[in-house]
Amino acid sequence: MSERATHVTAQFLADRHRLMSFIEGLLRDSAVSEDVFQEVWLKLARTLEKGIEIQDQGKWCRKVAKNLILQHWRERRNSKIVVDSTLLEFVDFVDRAFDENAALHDYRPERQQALSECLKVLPEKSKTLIALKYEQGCSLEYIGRKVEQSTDSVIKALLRLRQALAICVQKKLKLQELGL
Amino acid sequence: MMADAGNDSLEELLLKWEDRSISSEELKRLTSLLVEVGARTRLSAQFRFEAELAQAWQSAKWRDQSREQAERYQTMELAEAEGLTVAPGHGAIKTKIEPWGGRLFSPSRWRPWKWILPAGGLAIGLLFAYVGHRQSLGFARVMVGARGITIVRGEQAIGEVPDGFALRSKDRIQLADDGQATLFYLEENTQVQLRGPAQLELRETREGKNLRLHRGSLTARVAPQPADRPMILWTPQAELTVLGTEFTLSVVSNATRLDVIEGALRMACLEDGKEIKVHDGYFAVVSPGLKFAEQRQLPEPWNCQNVGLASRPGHAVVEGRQCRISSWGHQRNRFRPNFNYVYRTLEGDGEIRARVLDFDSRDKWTKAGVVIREDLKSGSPTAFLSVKAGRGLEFWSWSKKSNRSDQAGEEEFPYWVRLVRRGDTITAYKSPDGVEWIETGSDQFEMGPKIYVGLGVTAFNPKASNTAVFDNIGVLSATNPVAVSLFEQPRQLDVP
Repeated sequence: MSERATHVTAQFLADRHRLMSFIEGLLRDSAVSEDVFQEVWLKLARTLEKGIEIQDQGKWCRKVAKNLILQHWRERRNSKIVVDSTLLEFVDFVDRAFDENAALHDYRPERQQALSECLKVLPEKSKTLIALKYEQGCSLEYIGRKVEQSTDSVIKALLRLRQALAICVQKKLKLQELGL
Repeated sequence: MMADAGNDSLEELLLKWEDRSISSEELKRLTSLLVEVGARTRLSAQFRFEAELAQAWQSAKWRDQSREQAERYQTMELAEAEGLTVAPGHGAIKTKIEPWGGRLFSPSRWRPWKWILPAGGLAIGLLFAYVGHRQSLGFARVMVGARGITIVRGEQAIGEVPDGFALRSKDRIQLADDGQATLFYLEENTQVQLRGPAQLELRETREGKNLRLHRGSLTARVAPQPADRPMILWTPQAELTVLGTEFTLSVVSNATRLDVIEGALRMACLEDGKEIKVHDGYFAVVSPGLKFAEQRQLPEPWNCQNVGLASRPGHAVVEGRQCRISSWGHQRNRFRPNFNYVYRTLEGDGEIRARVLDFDSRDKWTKAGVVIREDLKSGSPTAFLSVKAGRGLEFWSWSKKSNRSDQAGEEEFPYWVRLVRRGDTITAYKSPDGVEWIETGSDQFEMGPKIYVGLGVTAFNPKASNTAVFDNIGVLSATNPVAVSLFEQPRQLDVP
């Protein structure tokens, strides 16, 4: 493999978490997200073959992903997503957000470890909510019916849960930092 | 702890976006909020947290399942160590009557949970201590479908190896002649496929994964390893340092051969300490009397590359008189020319022939055969006569003017296939023996004098590679009537 190819590949691998966060955050479908992720890599590989230089590889990959995502939405017949000017503006803002906060998406295994530990100590009701949302991919309305709460209550419960987990993770990382 | 109404608004709207229950008015409101830099930072944080949470939840679930399985085996082993026997597949424990423990252990007072819970708790405790350590080692496990396998653990030989069996450091895996097993690591995407006859020893240390291949062959796909904790592979002749790559390693009598499929490895000769780097598409052999250097897996002027879409790069290697070609699929492969292509150029009229010998899967979308193309671009005019992994032959021709796929027979592999170019016509032939050829179809192509001829393997499944094996591969040229095989020196042949 040439030096340039090694460099491009290494950078792509280093950016992969960020790119996948971007793709999954918009698509919310892990199978399609993987397709798009692979397609971005293939396009990057082809560009590499042609010897085309890319200034900002992360931004380029997100741009390609964005176009693929929009194409996916346009091609889907029963989609709840309508590709209009508002959606395009929203997607652009998401792209900007990732651009401005690149370091936020770097993979940190200590965060992942801390989050795993925080999940273990959640009460059963909270674990049920998480399982329904993140394991089974249920809608908020379905979750509401399942736990016999209104959709608004489920939304508030999930937001409180996320906040609690975020604080838990922060505390654990702080303790680690202090060597405790 | 709860944020104010304005902040809630952004997070609530994002939750509705994730749920796809956001209305167009709500999406407009969300978009208007994102004008602020602070709001975009919170969006980034929320997207990241969502991804982390989903991953952490799935990982925890997976660990729970694995822990239950490990607990079951450890419970059995602990029970055996205590002089108890375990009914296989049940977890119920029958006791031996011991004089000193008669009252406790007598069947009349037997309560299985008294033994399972403490033993299980001990197992779980040991597992948490081991798995929870920040520098914890991934457990290697035996995947589904292992056969002809024996695991030697200390002085014990374990013949019945069920799916998901947890391996330990110093375990020796022995495979019979037709044996096969796949090992995978829980906490990363590393797999090792072992083919018999083989003997592999695992030595997991805090410095990293260590495997000793005493004999046999393995193909490994190794996830990126920490630079200070690479995977180390030993054979009787060589030591390999693996940071993350895919490769095949074979040990026979006094030789070790390494073929790199993706990435690169450092390989050291144990005899003299010489070290080289071996890159993808190359191999190296350590053996007395042989030059220790990186060499191309395909002889000149043959090359290998993916045509069209593939989830991963394919691979090709020459083994003796055969060529083994692997291809990774893509979900959109069905209607486009996508295959792994082993090719060389040809000037003017000529032909390519080969025997499709074998497949490693019976996926109906896997096809292997001979290909003639104008160039290597994805839209290039192509003629492809293939044998299907299931059953049958197909002649597929693609150009700017046509896109045809015709059944060319119901035969099964092994079978011979051949494409002949005369001017603008390419004709397809099939044969059961490489002597009697039967025409199966033809088409018109406007190609320049220089064309590309070779072997193609298609696949559909993006999550697994399909491999086809060819032999008797030959290329004949009318302008330069010398048959050039993939393996042999050029020799004179009559062009029909």
